[in-house]
Amino acid sequence: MDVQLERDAFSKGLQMVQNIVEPRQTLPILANVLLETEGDTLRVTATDLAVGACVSVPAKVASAGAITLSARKLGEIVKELPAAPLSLKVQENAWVVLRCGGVSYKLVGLPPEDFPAVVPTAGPAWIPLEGKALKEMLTRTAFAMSHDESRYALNGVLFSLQSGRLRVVATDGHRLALASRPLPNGGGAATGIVPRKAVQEVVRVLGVGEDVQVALVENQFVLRMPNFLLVARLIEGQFPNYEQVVPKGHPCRLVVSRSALAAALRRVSVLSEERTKPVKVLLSPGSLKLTAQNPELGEAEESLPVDYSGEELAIGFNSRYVLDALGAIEADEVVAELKDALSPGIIRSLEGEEYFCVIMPMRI
Amino acid sequence: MAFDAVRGQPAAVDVLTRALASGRVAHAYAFVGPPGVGRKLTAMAFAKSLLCPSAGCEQCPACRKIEAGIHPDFMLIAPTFPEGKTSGTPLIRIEAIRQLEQRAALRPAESAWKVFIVDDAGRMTAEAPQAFLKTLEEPPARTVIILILTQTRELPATVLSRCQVVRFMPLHEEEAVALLQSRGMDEGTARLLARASQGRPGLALALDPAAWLERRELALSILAEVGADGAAALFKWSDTLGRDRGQIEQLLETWWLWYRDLLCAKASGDPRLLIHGDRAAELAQSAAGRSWEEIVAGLAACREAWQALQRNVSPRLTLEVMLSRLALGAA
Repeated sequence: MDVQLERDAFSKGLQMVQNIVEPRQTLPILANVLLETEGDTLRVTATDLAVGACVSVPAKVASAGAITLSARKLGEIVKELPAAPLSLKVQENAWVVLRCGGVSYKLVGLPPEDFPAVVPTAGPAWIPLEGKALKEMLTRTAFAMSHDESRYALNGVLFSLQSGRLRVVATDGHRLALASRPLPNGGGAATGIVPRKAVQEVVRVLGVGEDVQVALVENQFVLRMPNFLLVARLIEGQFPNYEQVVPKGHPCRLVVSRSALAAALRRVSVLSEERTKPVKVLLSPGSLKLTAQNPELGEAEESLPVDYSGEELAIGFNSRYVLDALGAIEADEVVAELKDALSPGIIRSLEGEEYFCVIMPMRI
Repeated sequence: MAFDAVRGQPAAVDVLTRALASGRVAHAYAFVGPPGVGRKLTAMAFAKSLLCPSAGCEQCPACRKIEAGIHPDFMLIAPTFPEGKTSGTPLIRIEAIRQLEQRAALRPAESAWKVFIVDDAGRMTAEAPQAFLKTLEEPPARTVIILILTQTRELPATVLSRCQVVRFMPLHEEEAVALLQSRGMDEGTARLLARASQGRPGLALALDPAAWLERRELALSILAEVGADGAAALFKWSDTLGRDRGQIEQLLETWWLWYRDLLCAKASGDPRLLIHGDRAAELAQSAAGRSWEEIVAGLAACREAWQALQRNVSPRLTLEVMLSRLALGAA
């Protein structure tokens, strides 16, 4: 293999995939990225056997071939190189000579044959999406993913394709976040739980403008952009029936300024117990009172005006969960729906049903 | 077939092939038996049978990837040194178990199953089995976990009760000899090593026949020297060897087998029973000069020294006590 590349393009390509490489690896080849020529491009592939991604970088290919090199060291090298044309040449015994300007490296590679392939298993039905919209849906739900390894079905977000809508759902058993949007051309029905690492990688590589295509194949989630492909294994198991959890027809509905509520929660929860950060919410017509108390520290209390005309209600929440939900909404005003002290509450943006978050109450 | 390479374990192979044929594969197995008799080989063969499209052909990309450890639906976990070090006690650490659990939670990438082999599963850190319990009891769908153990008591009963136990036995001498010969050994060496390894060809393959014979000479000469010169020789040898736990373990095994042969020689004199068949005359003579009690006491001394080493008694102290019992007749 003998190729010439632009340093900037190569560096950008490497950055898109190298996070997938796990720092601690028992298999030497998985600490490497695969570099292979493909037409007029150099394709860079990284995988940890659960998530894999490849990116194509424009290159002048003098002779075709493939090699693998340490992802970390290659990243460190390319980051520091001057902005000049860069050449990669494979020599005997998997040695690689990298030249850029006046710098040259001779690197120890590993043969490409043993590198696990990153390919979608079947020709998938692609769903076109705006990259920005997908990124937003993921960031607005990903915080609710569970970190409890024993409940592995919750360690990811559910992608659900049904009756012309894409729904993205995450829950950890205490709260649930759901973002949904209509699909331009309907599409079939499919579901799959995408693991946390894949979600993080997708959010990281998605920029603002570009269009993407996603697909759920039997056991895989696939994301495609021009010159980029990500394949992730789905999580085994059953996602909880989230539709059953979402309460309907709560009688108490209030509208409140998002930023004012968030600021008040942060202030009051300073005195909450550290682990679950409980805050008590006292609702009465026109006003919402937040209180927190800690026998060792004291009490905090704040009232803020709300648009509410129902009955009085007292309910407790983990203030972190409420703040997470408020942080995921962009609108200035949010709607909260409540029933009684033991029923879950809903937070959603004032307009539309595109996003909401269900939070279980706490006994305080 | 994948199991062709497994020799002398008909019971184990039968259990596994029947599970494959009936489609009733257990979610967790414990392969229990002495090291070197083919537990890992069988586990790999079982993995290939489950993951390879043609049930373990050894030729296809899937089989090659399993062998290389890069099959996405396969994971082999073995004891490792403490993080970031290249020495220390190799153990199966909780992080490895967590990695296994994360991979098990994913759907299979290429096959119908996911197979996880935990080699030397007895070497888990104290908290690793706890972390493992829930996954072992109810692993994600299409998951098979194989624990490789020397003895069932190496793991808590809570772990073992969640596994189907498959027993592995030492090979019969003829099987071991045939296997070693198929690896290019001549019959004499194969027989010597098959006996020296007591039916554990995996260990026999790792033995260097010349080194083994040399060690036997050393062990016997130490015994003779201490017997002749008494305490002075004993302390000379314990000074020389005292720090090397590995070598003392090997010498101990040699003495132990020697005493075993003495017992056989005294009982029947049939050279086919002897591990050190080439020294039959010497054994017969030595056995004739000893009482039954003396030989049995020697065996007891070896066993107790072995237990002491397993329990972390100082190797030097163990060696001194054992030599004084073997060669000086101390009680």
